[in-house]
Amino acid sequence: MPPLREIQRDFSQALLGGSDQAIAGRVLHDRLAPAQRIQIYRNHVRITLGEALATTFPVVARLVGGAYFASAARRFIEREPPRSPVLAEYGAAFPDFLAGAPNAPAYLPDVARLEWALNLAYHAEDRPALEPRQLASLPPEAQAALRLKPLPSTAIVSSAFPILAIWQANQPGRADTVDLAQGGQTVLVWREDGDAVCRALGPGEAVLLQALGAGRGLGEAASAAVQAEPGLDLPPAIAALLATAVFSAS
Amino acid sequence: MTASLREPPLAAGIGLRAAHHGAVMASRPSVGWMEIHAENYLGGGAPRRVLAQVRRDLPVSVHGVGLSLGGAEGLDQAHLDRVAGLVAAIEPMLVSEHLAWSVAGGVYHNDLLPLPYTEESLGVVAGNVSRLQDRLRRRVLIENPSTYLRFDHSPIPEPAFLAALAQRTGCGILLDLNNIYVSAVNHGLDAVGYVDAIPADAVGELHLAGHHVAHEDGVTILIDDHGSSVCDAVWELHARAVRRFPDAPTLIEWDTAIPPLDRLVAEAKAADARRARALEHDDAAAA
Repeated sequence: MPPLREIQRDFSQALLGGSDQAIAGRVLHDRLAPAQRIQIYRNHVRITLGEALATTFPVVARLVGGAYFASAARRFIEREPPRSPVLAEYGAAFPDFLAGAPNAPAYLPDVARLEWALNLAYHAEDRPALEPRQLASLPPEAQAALRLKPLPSTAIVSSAFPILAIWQANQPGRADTVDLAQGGQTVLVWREDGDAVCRALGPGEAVLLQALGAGRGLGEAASAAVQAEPGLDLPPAIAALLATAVFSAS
Repeated sequence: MTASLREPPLAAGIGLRAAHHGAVMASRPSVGWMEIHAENYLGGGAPRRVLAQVRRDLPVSVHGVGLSLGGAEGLDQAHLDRVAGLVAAIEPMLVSEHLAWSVAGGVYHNDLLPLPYTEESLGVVAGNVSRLQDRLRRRVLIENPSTYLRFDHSPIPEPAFLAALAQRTGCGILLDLNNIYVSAVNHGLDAVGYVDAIPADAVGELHLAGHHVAHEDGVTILIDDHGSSVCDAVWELHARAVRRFPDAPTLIEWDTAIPPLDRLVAEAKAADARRARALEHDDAAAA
């Protein structure tokens, strides 16, 4: 192996929780020991990647507290270091990692999934959203057969826990209590005017959107929605979703 | 040469940070230009909308932090393509990256990690810089790093390494005066000698920032945190640099404990005033 590649492999190992012995052997001992100098880089990597995770998962950080979050982040960074130089793209695996974290509340991974969806929505690439008037001009048969495609910024997060209520209660300046007994929530995440936003979906709306997202036609998705929620008033439900920037224009 | 014969210099610029997105959308900051970190503007949404407005108002420079030009495993083609897409979209006045590596084994370490300065690494960096310039179809500037360690086998002094890189690839140099100072203190080297050893025609941009002073076992270590005002010793290096590289525009960077935008604008204005004074002294000395 050429020396530079070997040096970078050994350095990487020392930065990600492994031994610094191999790289220390190549570092100049000058006033400070090589291990002390390597530690400066290790601290930087740990602190800045921990901050990146705390930026993407602020509610998770608030729910578990700073010390717990820092320790979980540190273990996560060593196990699943970034594969992309775009920090906003770091943390896709953090919700699953939290599912195995000691003494973490059961709802934590799903709250993290909601925060990840919000992060993706905020940064997703720009695509024109479908305008309701584009559909109004179609004859009814064409509307039923229509296949709508969600925008890259659109996501649905379902949980057996009231994740939206938990997320809302933990926004800056809020300190509400949440009754976990209220049951699960399905949350729609989208981008509106540059902000990532979310709201709870009723059971019929959720089925409608999930069916559309899976590539089924509007007519088929609508029947599935009514089946899931027999009392659902379809036209306003569809109109409300179309008025939200969740579907792609193309 | 007198000041009046030069092109009017571009006033100092500042780095655009997410903390100031609201403020720059509300009113155009009174600075000469702005620099973005490429990796923070590769998606869509609000950041790109802010960038589009800034680009309409001011000259913009794209500063990459994640290409890992010192990486022995070469460049990540997908990332290179995304950066090239951003550069094509906003047509910046300058594009720059670092003399450092950040990727090994496909892992991105989110740090500008040090290189041993050898013939082997010169070949690696030159190959990566050439590939970047070929992909962008333009010249890039390469920035000197701040470092906390040196390798026992690193026979080429850093300024000579940068000069050789510029000569071999045709790239320019982004000279970060705070980084020179930080590394000089951390390794007991001569910062002034560093500035003087850089070829005058290669420098296309100057960086300024603050650092944190730490102590470890009685040894002073400077940490390049971009979290405070520029210190006097770095201003002195800047005065020397603007005399040596009079056409290179100056940028103020601030990345931790980010103050209100006004404070950065004031720092940029201070850089303009100091630049003007340094050039006056230069002309007086030459007359």
